[in-house]
Amino acid sequence: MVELPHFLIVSVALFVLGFVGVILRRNLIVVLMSIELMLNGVNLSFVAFSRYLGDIQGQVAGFFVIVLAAAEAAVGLAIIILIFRRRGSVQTTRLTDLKDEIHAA
Amino acid sequence: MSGFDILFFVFAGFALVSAMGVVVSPNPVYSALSLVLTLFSVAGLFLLLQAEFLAVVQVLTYAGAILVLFVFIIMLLNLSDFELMEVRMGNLGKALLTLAAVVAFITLAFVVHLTRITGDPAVEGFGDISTLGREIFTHYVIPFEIAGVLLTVSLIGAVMLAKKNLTKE
Amino acid sequence: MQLSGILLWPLLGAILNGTFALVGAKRKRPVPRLWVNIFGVGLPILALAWSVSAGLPFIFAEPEPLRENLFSWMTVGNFRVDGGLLLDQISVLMILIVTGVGSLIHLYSTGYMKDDPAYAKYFAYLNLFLTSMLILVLGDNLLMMFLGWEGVGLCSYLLIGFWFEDPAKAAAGKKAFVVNRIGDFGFLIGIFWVISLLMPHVGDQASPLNFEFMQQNAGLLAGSATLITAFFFIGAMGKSAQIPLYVWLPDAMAGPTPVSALIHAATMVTAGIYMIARLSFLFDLAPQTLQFVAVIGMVTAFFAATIALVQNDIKKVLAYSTVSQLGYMFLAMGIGSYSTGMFHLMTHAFFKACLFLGAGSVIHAMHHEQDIRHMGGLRRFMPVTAWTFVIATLAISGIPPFAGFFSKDEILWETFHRGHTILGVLGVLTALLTSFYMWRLTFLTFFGKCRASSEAQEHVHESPFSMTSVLILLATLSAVGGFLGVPHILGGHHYLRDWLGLGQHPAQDAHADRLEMMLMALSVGGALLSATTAYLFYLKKPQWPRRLAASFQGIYRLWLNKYYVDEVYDATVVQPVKRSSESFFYGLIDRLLIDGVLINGSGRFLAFMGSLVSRLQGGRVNAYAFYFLLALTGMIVWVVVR
Repeated sequence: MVELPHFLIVSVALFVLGFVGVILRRNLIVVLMSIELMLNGVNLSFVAFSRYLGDIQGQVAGFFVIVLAAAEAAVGLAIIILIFRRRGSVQTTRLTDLKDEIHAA
Repeated sequence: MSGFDILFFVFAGFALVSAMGVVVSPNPVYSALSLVLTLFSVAGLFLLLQAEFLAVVQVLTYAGAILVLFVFIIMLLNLSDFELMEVRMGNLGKALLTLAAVVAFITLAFVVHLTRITGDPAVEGFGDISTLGREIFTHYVIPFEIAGVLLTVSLIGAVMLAKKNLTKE
Repeated sequence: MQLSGILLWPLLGAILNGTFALVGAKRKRPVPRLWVNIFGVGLPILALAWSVSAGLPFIFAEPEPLRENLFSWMTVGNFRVDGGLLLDQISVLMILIVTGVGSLIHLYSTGYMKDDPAYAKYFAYLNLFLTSMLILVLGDNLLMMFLGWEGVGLCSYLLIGFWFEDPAKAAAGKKAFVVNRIGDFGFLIGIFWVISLLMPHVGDQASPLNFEFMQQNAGLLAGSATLITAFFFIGAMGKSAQIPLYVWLPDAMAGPTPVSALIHAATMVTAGIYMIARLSFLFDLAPQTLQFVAVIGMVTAFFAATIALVQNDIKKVLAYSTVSQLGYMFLAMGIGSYSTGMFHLMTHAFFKACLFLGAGSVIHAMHHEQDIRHMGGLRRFMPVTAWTFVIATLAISGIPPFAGFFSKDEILWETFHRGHTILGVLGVLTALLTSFYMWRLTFLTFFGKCRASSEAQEHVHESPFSMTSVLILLATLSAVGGFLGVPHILGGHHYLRDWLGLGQHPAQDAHADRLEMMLMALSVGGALLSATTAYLFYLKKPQWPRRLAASFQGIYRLWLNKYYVDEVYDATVVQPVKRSSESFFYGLIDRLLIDGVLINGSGRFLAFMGSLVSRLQGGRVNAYAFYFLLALTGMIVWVVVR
């Protein structure tokens, strides 16, 4: 019998997979996709709670998350374009301006 | 095992496998296609959870708009083979990452385990567009308007950022 | 305001003249001397006027001591010190001497320092000295006294090293400062000891360091009085140049001569005497310390007098003479005759200031020649200086009716009368030596044939009126100052002793009268004999002293080289300290421990730790996200497990 915890486990798994993607991948575009994955994981838990608590507000939250994801994807991709134009690369390994040049060698 | 259960396992399985595909496939185009599959599966799970409107929105905006945008960008940037090639991490890093991910998963799963919500208060029409619309346009009307402004702002922002003649070099 | 005004006027002068000096240095053009004169001399004279107006009631009546609280210095729990002033008979005497002699010397300086480029700076220091000295004598507690004590030490340092372009003069200032520091350390220990003993007994409003409070509670200090007073006396040894800390005073002659007259003869060096008089209630409880003070004073007096016999620098002779006379004062203090010590302090301030200023006048005229072997016969060129110098010499050698006779004779009589026969005999001997070296100085400088080069002789001139007028005034004081304390047997009245009312004095009986008569005859006869000998030696038969020196080669060299004390100190104290500083404190502690371990070490440690942590700062966004994940997981674990 599938109940709330099953959905939540799937949601957690999506979230963790997304996070692993953020950490693992060097390509900024894929990192952004992984973030979408994490957002989806969270969204799933909102909707699952909404359903099993009988409260529509969870779905409202999910709706706003999707709106936010759209805005974030638009701006994020614009930034990626900008970075590519300036650096000629979207690899995070090339974007190490914060590196401590003196000691980390 | 009811049909509901079967459908859940199918959708969940597709979601997780394709999510794995997003993370591990070396080519961003494959990642994007896997992400489409994941989004569809999650939309299926939304349907199982009686969130019909949300499932539709998920398919329309995510799979329809956002993912198209992603693929568009990937094509637009015309990444070289070198750019597409991933720099792999060392074994220690992989082990560490796996460990951390497993720990994070177990922790969150444990938290889920702690939620003792059972029962099925599902009613007919829960989560259809009229219920959700009523909620959004009564209690959440100001956040909704703000969300609209946010979308406008992000639209203008994205255009301004990506405009070519801004970068005079 | 009546009391604080006395010391605020010179302070104002110091501030104004300091500003003038700074403005002059900034504009590369000195402020006109007239301005400096108006404030630098006018304000001390104003302070003198205030002192007189504050002191007159004390002279003609016996009012209650005047008290004035300037400010609350510190209040820590029960401990409380005020910036308070106290005017009683002792401080009246002191402020009159300080502002009186001080004003005269300021006036004299306008002539002496006329051509000095740092004119305003000189007066700023001199005014500041006057302020500090007045704080010292007016302070109503030990800490105020210590403030003044340190202040005069600072001004002494600044003025000795006033011509600091000359390394020897700068070194002399440094020496004075360091030697004084040793004494001040003793003084400080004494102060702390008093605090520790009296603190448990102070009420809410009392200050443990207040002189009146200390006097009322002297019983509490009685148990440790010997050591406390001994520490105070160590302070006095430094400031008042007694054995073994006298070595700085002869070197202090490097400063301008008016400074030597004011600071190193008339006022600052007598601070130790004043301190003992002020704390006489405490010293009365410590007979051993008093005995020690008397012995040190007498030995210093004799010792310095022997050195003075053979010195050839006019200021050095006077410097050793000052050390010697200070020894006399400590002898008087040590036998418990405080008012006699104060009496000698006063007369000494007059005649020694006069002698120093006379010497300054000579040095001024001779274009900074200080060696008496190149002088002689100056009486013809500068009569005023010569005759005032002679009057002061008469006073110091104890020839009646000049001031020194009364005070010195009183010291000797009190010494014998109180049963200190050995000290008394030494005192009489020292008096003979004093007379001899002072007349030697006078004869060699002002009488006989002139031994200066003919070119120098042409330039010798009498000093301007601003200097000679001061000399005349001080010579007058040296002549009549002693009448404040005419002894009983000469049909006089000892006004000063009765007025000061310090200490116990033995009864005046027939036996004492005979003793005093005898002593007077002895010391006056001896002084005249010494003077005659000096006359023979240095005017009539100049070959005699040379022959004498030749036959007593050893002792002559010993005296000429000042008993080699400086050399001994250098070998036993200065060099070991320097060496240990270089090898241990500088080499080991400073370079290795502080620079190496603490400063560079801490830097290196932090750099090392930084290099460890900076590996995290790889600049890769993914890594940052990973740390973020770790921290987030940790936080969730912590929340859940808790």
